[in-house]
Amino acid sequence: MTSVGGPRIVELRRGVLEKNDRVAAALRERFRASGVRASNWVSSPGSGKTALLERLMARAAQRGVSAAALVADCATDNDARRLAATGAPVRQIVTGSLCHLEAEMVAAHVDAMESAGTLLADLDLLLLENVGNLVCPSSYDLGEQVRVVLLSVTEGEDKPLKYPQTFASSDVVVLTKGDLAGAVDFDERAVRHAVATVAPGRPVVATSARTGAGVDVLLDALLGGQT
Amino acid sequence: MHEVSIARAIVSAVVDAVGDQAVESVEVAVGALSGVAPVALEFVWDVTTSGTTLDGAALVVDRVPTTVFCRRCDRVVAPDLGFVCPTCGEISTDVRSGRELDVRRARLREPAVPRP
Repeated sequence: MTSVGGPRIVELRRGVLEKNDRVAAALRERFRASGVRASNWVSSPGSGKTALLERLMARAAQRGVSAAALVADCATDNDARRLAATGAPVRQIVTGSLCHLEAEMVAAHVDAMESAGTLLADLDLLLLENVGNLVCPSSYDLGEQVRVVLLSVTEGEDKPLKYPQTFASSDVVVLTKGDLAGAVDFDERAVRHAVATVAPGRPVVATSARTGAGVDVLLDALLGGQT
Repeated sequence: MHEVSIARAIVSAVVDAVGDQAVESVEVAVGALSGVAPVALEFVWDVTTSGTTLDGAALVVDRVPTTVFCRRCDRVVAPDLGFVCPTCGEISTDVRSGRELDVRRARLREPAVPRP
């Protein structure tokens, strides 16, 4: 059979998430131009993201650091209501059945936040709390400057080895619920070794939302310290 | 399980490139570090493409393993665990493959019609 038209093979050679990455790149430039540091918080459900954010945002306010948060969940605005109690601007992103945030959703909520009077240019920190899920969010760039992966001491020291792609895509690893470490015989050296195996060179920050341990160190890292 | 979102992004990338021409197959590269499970992607492919111009198109997934350059061994190696060289145990940050999540090419059912 002879072909009369063009070829039947069409070369694309493009990233599947090219569109997301374009939106994310525009967001990153917007954050940079506004002088705000954006961080994308990824972890399993129940690792203590919201509790740590509450503590961090309260501490930020004490230190005169202006912070706002966009928090994502499949349903409810419980997290936004908890964080709003810190007095900072907070918006809930309800993702429905979607298991992760995409750059377009962040862009839409940043627009809505600015329309409501909270300008990026007036912020030091924008905290993007992703849907609790240790797999899917790792594929999606949200335009953040810092990706934070949280791991609670009750989850097991080998979790970085089980979810290597997520830890490998992080900039900072945060240990949460440090006040419970004794109760579960948590081995911090083992977790640091696991992080070094799949995410070599990433700083590991040990925290406790209950005692406030590590919160200042994390705040400094988010503000553009050594990350 | 974000593979439905990924499958939709693949459909949209192909439709952008070939318009409404019928597609026989789509070849994608999925790296071990991409966060996408090829099995799950294959599972959702038929239902995602149903009713689109990719209806009935086959999905061909090239699974790309993680490889890193080991400085001590002075060669590219495929770690069994994380970024650890399977030969000498050195941890490398010089990733050479595994992050891919690409649409490589589409094969049309009929010869391509030049697009305006």
